[in-house]
Amino acid sequence: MFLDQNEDLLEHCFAQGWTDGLPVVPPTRERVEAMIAASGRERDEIVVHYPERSRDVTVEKVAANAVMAGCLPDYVPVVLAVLEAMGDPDHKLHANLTSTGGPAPGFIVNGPIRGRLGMNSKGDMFGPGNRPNSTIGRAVRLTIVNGLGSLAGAGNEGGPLAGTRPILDQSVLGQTARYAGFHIVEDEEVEPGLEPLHVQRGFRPDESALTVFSTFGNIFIAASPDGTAHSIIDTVTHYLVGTGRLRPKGWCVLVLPPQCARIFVRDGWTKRDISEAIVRNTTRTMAWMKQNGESPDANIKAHRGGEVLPGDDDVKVGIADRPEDVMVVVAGAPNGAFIHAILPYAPYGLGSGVTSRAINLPEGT
Amino acid sequence: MGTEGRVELVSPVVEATITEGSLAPPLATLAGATIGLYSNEKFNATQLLDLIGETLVKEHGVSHLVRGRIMPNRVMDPGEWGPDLAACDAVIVGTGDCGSCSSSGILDVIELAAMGVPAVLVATAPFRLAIEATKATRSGLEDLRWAEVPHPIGALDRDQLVERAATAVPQVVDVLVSAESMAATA
Repeated sequence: MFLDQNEDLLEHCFAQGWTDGLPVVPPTRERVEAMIAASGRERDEIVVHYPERSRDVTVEKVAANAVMAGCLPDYVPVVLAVLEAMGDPDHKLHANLTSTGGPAPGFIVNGPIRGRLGMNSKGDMFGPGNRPNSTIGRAVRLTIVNGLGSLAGAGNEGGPLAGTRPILDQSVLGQTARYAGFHIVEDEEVEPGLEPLHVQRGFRPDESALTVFSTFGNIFIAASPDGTAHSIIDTVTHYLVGTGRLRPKGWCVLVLPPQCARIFVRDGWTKRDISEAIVRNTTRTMAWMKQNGESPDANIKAHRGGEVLPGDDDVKVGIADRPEDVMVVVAGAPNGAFIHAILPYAPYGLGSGVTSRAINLPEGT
Repeated sequence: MGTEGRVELVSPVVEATITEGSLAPPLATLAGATIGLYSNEKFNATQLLDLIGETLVKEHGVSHLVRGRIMPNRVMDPGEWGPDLAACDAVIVGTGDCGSCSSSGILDVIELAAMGVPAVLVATAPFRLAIEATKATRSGLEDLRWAEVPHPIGALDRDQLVERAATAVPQVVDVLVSAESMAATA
């Protein structure tokens, strides 16, 4: 579309319902072309197919949203990789983008791409202040809104965007991570004795890779800075069990700051040891869950808790079934012992899985 | 008009691709019919469908009820319906009281219609616009209706579910039975 050069392009973007409520960079043809060129892909190549909404998102549309988010062209391979992972059937795209629960996408970046883009794996990694950390996740969100049809604002159909497009995002409250996603950049260098996540998941150390998930949010765990590996595991276990998120086919991401990572290394633990301990220590019986007012189906398929049935003592439920589903990542400033645990959007065991994939960089780069 | 003095913006929006839909022929009557109750097994979904089915048996002469399952957060693959579907003259799917189950529920109805099986979704009012927008991704389905009941469905007690069923049943009958037949028997 062509606009008069004197028109306020930013206000045009707001009026069209293209933004996340914050100012965007107008997606001029020149900027979008630079983004497409940096992708090394054809403009019409389909990145995500969304059957429930009859939409196919192309490289060009992702590029337009990445421009609006404030990405530099070099970031676009990461944006594309996140969106491709979200199109994996195991991600449950429709559930994530339509749910009243309002989950947010998250992604873990490993490998050389972190340094190449200047991503932040240290202080305030989740927070603002770093351009690729903030804008890659924002580009994903804007693509969700504009490319995949998730205009937000259920219950506000008479609001300012009424008539622009249908409101298909049915989230009750949303969450702040819907602006820029849970962007996680592993600090692979601070504790070389701990294997990077992407290597654990089958990639070479020199490959750049993404691990993508959908989450209801994170919890903040204050671990004792003068503790031991066992005491930290005990603390984390209490927090995780208290979340009420013990589910079949569960998973979690544990983001360990360097101060805690150091304690595990000092005590001779590997990441696998940490994951096994979390699965072992968070596992409870179905009977225990019901007696504590919970169940894997609570408030989704049945009332909370419920009658303890014969055999419930034999049914085991934990934060995850398998150690590989407790993903340990090292990141953050070296000045505190605050762990973050990210928990799945996983209704009745059918929720979003975790998918990893290589970040494909254009040839010659 | 030339482009001098103008700026080109690339729209970031992807419009839905509209594909052709079809309506299944409605039933001449529910009397003697076999009705499928396909539940997504969300809170109270199966119970509400059972209440609707029981009413259809008692008051409309439905002879058999078949129970099946749909996925709560995505559209069914054609192979997932199972062999019992072949026995059904019509199907009721539900319930839609959340974002993904309401929109995937109407898509299940659309897919059943394409197979020639008349079907109706039972869903709650807050999802009306999302359901209609999902319907609009298919052409020719302007007359496809669904049974709307007040929100919520989960967390209701049995008496409240009976009220929901009473609201749904006339709409279900209206969707599944042809207007001509209804007029003839009125």
